[in-house]
Amino acid sequence: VIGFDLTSREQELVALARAQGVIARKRARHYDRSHELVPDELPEAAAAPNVREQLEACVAETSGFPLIDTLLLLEETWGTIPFRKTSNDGVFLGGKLVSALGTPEQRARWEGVTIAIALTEPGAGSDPSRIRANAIYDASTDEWVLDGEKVFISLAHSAQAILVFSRFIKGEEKGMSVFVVEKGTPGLTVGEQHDKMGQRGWDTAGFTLTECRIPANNRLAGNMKHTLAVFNSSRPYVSAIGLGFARAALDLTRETLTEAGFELDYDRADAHLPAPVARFFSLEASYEAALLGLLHAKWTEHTSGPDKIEASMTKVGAARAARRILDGCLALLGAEAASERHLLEMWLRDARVCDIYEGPGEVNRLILARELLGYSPAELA
Amino acid sequence: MISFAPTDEQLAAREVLEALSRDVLRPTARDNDREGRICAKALSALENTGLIEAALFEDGEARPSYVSGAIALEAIAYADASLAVAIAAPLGFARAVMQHGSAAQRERLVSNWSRPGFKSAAVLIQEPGFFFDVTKPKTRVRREGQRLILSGAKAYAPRAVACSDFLVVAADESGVGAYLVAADAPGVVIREPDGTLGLKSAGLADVRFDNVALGEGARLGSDADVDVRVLIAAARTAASAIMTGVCGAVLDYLTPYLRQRVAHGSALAQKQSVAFRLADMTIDIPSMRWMTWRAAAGLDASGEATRNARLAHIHCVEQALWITDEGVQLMGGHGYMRDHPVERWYRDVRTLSQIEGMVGL
Repeated sequence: VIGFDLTSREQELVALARAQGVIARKRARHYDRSHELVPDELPEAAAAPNVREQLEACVAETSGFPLIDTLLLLEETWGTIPFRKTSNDGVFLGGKLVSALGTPEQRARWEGVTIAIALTEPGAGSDPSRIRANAIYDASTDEWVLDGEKVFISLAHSAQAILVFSRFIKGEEKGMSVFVVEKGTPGLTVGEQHDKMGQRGWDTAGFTLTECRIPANNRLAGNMKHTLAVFNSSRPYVSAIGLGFARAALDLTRETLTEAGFELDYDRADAHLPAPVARFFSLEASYEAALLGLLHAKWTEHTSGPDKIEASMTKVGAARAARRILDGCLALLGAEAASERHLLEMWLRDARVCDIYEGPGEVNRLILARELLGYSPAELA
Repeated sequence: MISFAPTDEQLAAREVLEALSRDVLRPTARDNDREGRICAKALSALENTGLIEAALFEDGEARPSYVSGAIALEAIAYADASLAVAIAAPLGFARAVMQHGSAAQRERLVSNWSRPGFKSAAVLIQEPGFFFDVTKPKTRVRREGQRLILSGAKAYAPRAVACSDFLVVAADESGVGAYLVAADAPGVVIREPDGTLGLKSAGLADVRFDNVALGEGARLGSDADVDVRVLIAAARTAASAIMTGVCGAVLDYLTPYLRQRVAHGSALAQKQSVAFRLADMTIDIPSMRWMTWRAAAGLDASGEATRNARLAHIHCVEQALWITDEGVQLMGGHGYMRDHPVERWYRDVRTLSQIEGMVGL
């Protein structure tokens, strides 16, 4: 039966996640200014419950793990990047890929290890065919020898290993594959933190591989198509992060409008509302529509598995909404909104990347349009 | 719980209506639009959907759901927005009476509408004149001794000439109320349609009330006053469902055309600037539907859906304006010709999006 209300148990979980968002927000400006990395755990949140464990314990009474997990992330991101490792596990970590593609032996070997994912290179973003990193098999030592450069890699510093997307050559065999490079391997050099416009406390860096030798069984067996399918469940997390910032901006704007004496009268048509209220309603409508898109993607994942099209739909829809909402709130609140006295200018910078990482809007539109029109990548490039 | 899954009954009903839309209703739309009236075939098909009968539930029967109503209107609007309006107007009327009316008002409606034939009736909120505010009707009910007298004018009554009953939203002693008025009551003047930008076959016309003496119990409701805001929320939700159906029609019409039309060496659809607009439609149309469903689910659950209905309406208007606009633009000169439906969808949405309170679920 069609329904959109959270159960009381779900509401409790969401409130717990929001409480963590509130704690993290108090430190947000510090990490933005200092460029220090946000730690896995803030001291003042050490006693806070693990919300996902709680969700797992009562998952049968909920609308499903994928859906509520995503809503929790949205609440945890209420105005700053989430600090908890438990929040980020599903989003950025290569552990999922290892468990999807690895042999039982590989899964056991890297169980519980934080693994970053490295796809992007200075000259190759959304188009994996442009990847230049190369792994050559050395039969004499039964090793792979990797060379290449990766950039924009989440958790490059804090992860214990990195999953590297690379070309490979093994005798006559050539192709694209995925390799696990553990930290401390000679030839792996991680660069300094990228100097980003937003999400400045988030660990993002590049690294180089120079004759970097790894054991033969550090190659994951799965093919590229299967590998990329793993992103179908993680891409909607980016929607949740973007909407978390958008929600924070809308809440601030609503509060400010109300304090300024504007009545939020949902009955009257736009023509009869003060201009800021009409504008605000339109931004709210964008948020709600994007939120339903996100919930639909995760509901689909819960009922019939991760879906490439659903993932792209919510990725485009939510990132587009977040950009519009942050810009709109800034405009509504006026010059003061650009001041570092408030967090709004930071949220604007933080949210902007949501339409870029994990596949920019353009790439996801290509996926959607090819599906709609029945075109191959060659027919619609 | 959050779920986007319609019930089996809703899915079955939708399937039937989608087939009706495609095979029976859509082929009548162009001529209906040109001639400014709905043909007998389409009217009888609409009647046979049984949607109006279902709205006239007896005491003790399950109330038909607003979500089901939204699903039905989207499916009919896929064929033609005017047809959706033609059935949504009496639906809105019947729903208002059955849900908010006194026992006597409900019984009268059920008995009056028991004979066969297409029912026409309307909730009248909109008034003539630029810059109308739905929350401030100029139409008034005043007391003269024991009698209540209605005076004023309403605009955009669908199929006004054929209507048997109106529910007129008017200012009164206690604020704003809704009043039941028979179309043949003395002083009710139904004007011929002046013609409208779109929804042409819906026969939108003004209705004037020249000191109409209202009968006992004309005010909708029994003890408690009816909250007119609920009628407006239901109307906004219905309009949102209709705009969703029209946009689905636009996308399905554009897709094959843009695949086969070649310019500068490749199909139009192979150009990113074209394909990306279609991609955005595939995101926005479902989101219109979900916003509509959520407002409808709120009406089902609590009867209160002011905010969600308003936000659904805002979202659906914003999306429907751009999608129908692209419908014309992407077909070039053909989009401007009445041989293709996209120019009609463009006009229909620009009419429907402006009129509040015309339709119901």
